[in-house]
Amino acid sequence: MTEPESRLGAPTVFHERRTYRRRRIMDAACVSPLLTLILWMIPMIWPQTGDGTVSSATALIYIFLVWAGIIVLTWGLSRLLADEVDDASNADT
Amino acid sequence: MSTLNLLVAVCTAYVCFLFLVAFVADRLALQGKKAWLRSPLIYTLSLSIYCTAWTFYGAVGSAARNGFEYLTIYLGPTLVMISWWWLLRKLIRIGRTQKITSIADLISSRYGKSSLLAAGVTILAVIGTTPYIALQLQSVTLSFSVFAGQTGGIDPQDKAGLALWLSLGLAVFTVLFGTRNLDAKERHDGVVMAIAVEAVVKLVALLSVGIFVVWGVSGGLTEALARIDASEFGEWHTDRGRWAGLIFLSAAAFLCLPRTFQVLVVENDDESHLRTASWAFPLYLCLISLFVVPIAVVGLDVMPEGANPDLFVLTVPLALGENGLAMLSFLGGFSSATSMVIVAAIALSTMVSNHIVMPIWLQLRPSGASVSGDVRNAVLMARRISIVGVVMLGYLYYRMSSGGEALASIGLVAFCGLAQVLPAFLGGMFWRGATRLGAIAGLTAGFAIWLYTLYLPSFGVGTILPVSIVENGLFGLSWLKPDALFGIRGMDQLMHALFWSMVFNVVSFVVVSLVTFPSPLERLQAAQFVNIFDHSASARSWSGGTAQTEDLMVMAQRILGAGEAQALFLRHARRQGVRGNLPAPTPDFLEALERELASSVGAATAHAMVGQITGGMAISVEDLMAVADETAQMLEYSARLKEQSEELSRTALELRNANQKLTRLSIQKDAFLSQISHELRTPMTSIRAFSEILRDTDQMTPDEQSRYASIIHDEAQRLTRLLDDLLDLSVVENGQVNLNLREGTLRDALDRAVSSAAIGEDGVRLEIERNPAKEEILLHTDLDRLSQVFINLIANARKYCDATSPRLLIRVMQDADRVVVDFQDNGSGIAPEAVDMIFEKFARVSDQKAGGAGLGLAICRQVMTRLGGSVDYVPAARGATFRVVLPYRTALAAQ
Amino acid sequence: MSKQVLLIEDEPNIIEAISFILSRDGWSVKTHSNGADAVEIVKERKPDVVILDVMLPGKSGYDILRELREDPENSALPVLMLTARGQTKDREIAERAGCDAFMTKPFSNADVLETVRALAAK
Repeated sequence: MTEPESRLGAPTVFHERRTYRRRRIMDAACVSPLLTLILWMIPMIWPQTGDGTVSSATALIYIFLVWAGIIVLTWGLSRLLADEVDDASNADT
Repeated sequence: MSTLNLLVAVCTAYVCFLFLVAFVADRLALQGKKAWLRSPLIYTLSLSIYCTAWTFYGAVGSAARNGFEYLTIYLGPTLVMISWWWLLRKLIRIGRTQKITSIADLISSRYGKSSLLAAGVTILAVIGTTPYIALQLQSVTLSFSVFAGQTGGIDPQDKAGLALWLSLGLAVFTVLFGTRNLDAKERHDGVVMAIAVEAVVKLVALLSVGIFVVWGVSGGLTEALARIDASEFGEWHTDRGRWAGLIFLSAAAFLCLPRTFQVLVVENDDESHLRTASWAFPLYLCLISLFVVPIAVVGLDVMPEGANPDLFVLTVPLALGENGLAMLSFLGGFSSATSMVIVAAIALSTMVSNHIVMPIWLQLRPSGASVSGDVRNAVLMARRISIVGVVMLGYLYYRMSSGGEALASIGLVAFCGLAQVLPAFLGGMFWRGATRLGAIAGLTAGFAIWLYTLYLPSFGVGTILPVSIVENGLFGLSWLKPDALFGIRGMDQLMHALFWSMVFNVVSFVVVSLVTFPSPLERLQAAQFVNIFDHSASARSWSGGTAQTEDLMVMAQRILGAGEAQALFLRHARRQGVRGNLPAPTPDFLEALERELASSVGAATAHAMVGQITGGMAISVEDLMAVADETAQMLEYSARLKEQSEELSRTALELRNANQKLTRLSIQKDAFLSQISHELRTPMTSIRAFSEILRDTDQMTPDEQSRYASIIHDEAQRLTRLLDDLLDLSVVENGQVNLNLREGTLRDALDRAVSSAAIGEDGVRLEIERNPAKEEILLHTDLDRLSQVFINLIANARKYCDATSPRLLIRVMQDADRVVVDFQDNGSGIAPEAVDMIFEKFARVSDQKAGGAGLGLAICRQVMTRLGGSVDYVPAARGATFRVVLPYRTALAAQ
Repeated sequence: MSKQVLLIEDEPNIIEAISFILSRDGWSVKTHSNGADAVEIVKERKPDVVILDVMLPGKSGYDILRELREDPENSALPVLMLTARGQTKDREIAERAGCDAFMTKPFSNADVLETVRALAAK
């Protein structure tokens, strides 16, 4: 889909530096939802009774901070991956 | 009343504004000014269709009741959106290349265009969405009554009328802008634009209330946070199971809800818009949910005990005298409700008309389906009727369930129902082994459990599910209780239903998929879906024409063989004047190649293969259908071959049987000739011997003389009898017999036969059992011939019955149109292989006992045929049983 | 002591006729009318000549003859076969089975007498 050689012959083992970078960005885009999910599951292990309970305001701030963080991260990744997406969609239409 | 009038006026104005927006957008779209209409921003805003009145009002209510749980409803979709790279991109690409029109279409398309699955998902969607539409209507009427409450309230009649007018208005809007054009790709520019505007209204309204509450009421951010800590919320309390379960549920619903699928996949105009939406829509969700807790906290503080927390967004500004803000908030709720109903109606009507109405219509139509004007009109009409039907169904549901105030719970019930599509959905996208039967099994199992454990109980115990089932379980089995399947209790009802329905759904889906085998079309579609990026790779990324030609070469070699393929390519390269042996992929060359391949793999397959490599385009639905047709033709052909070979083997069997019979007949003919010879020669031997003795011997006593003369006489008579039999048979056979018809009783005929045949020449007497009373049947027939038949049957029994004390039972039965006389002996019967030969001439059951020439039964059969009846051997009976049947016209009922 | 003939035949009138003719000629005639135990009767009576019908109840004349020929004591016993089936293949079967003479019914009395005499003289 991106490099013709990936379909014509055996996949190449070494890529140019730029291609390599781009592949890792794709990996990051795949992993970021998992990371977010884990962060949002953390409230499940907060103690619910006794000492060390988390106040509602703190909880709210935590969840919204994660939210803001992932929005920024996704924004960044989506900009870095722009070439990929636009290539494909332009060719299609 | 002035407030209410004002409210109605504002609503009307707002709806008119929406009409205008949609109208202008449609116009612009027609003029080709799509760029602005279809920007990433509009796409992102249209996704907000996920946030309905349930979100707008219900989120605060949920926060007031259950704390932070409301957040999960937004966290799930956020997770889905940030998974755009590996999930949504693929989904949208599939939607575009396969021209998917709805979630039902997606599932059906993936599993070999299964119309059963499409109809199933459609029904599920209708069941899941109807309460949701009712919910929107309810929220609007509730908000109306809140305003009216200040000025004296409105009576229920007005409420119902309001809901009705609202539904009608929405239906009209949807019909106008939702069925304007019938595109293969269901895109509605006007509607999307209107929804985007409504999304802004929702967000602005909720943010305004939030800002007012935080900075106007609480006096700043830190104060607001302190107020939260001081309120009933206090510390972090949340049910862990529900927290995880609801995040999953809302993520699943975001993918599977018909309305979100519509805007996310179907209305998507450009894949690159997803890039923006991936972060912008989470931002929208984040902002929508930001002020929910502060509003809830202030609401709980400000509002009197028992106030409906679902309406805090509206009642808090009203209670604090901010009427303008309340009006904005009201408009926010109103637009959430209307946009949801509109898009849900469009999405559902597409599904209902495509997967339920049209198939039925095409079935009922006498001629086959051709895509002509009347089909198009029929589709549009079906669409419109479906829209009105869906909205009205929602209205009916609202009228029937009015009174329920917990808005959020009904939304979650619907989420859980639609989430049942998820396994088949994701499985179809990522697992090639998923089969149609697996999808059907999973959906059915999940849907059934959802219905039983959540949907039906949601109407309240005793309404649809009887109390006895809820308390004792289905069929009185306690492990089938709807709220504690398999005895697992203590789980929250929603989580319980979600857990079990998903477990059964996924397990049935996977197991059935593993054990079943998909059809060719299904396998093609599976490959298309799972490897969508390979199949739809863009032509531009190929490095020039030779790469294509090389690929074509690889494929051609595989199909045609290396030598032939290279020769073909070389020939075309020479013709094109290209150096080297790879021709440019010109249309001429492609056509020639396709023809060449078609001779090996069939036209449709060849076209699909070449198209896949050259165009970089996906195999179209038409291609796939053609492949399927070819496969079907091959199947039909092989079925015909099979039929032919079956017929051949049937004929061969018949011939073999006929041959066997002929052979047997020929053997019997030889045997008969021997037999006739024997039968004739034996008496002749005695006659000759004794006549020679009489001639040559002197001094014979008169006694001896007369004795020998009488032997000669007897034997001569025996010869005569034999010849008579032979002649008789040939006469009867040739139809020259004269029937001597007269009246008499069956009993007389039997009496005569018994007296002449029961005692043999050797003096052995055959025991005969009869029922004379039943034999009193008056006959009009040739009694002599009939007696002849009876004599033959009795004599046969006497001669051939192998029992130690032979007995014959003569049984007479009579029914409406015939008389049946059975002759049943107590011997071992006739061997099965001999049964079909005994009525043939020359036939004899055994070689050894030579009583006659083997003509008796053959004569009997001929005689009975002449008399209009029959004589048969009855195989199943005990002993040898012969059945003589006389037709009724020869049998006159005894007086 | 006169020579003994054993007549194996099931038709009573023919038995009577042959017995009459042979006994007139001085033969001692024993008769038997069942095929099944015919071989035992032959072994028991030890006749000088056997007249054997082909169609017998219980066992065919051919089978009886074959069994007799297998027995060394009777392998040379003169046997005259009578048959009512006059086809050539019947004669062939009889000869293969090892009969010394073969006659088709109806026969002349003189021929029977002559044949029996000839067989006894062997």
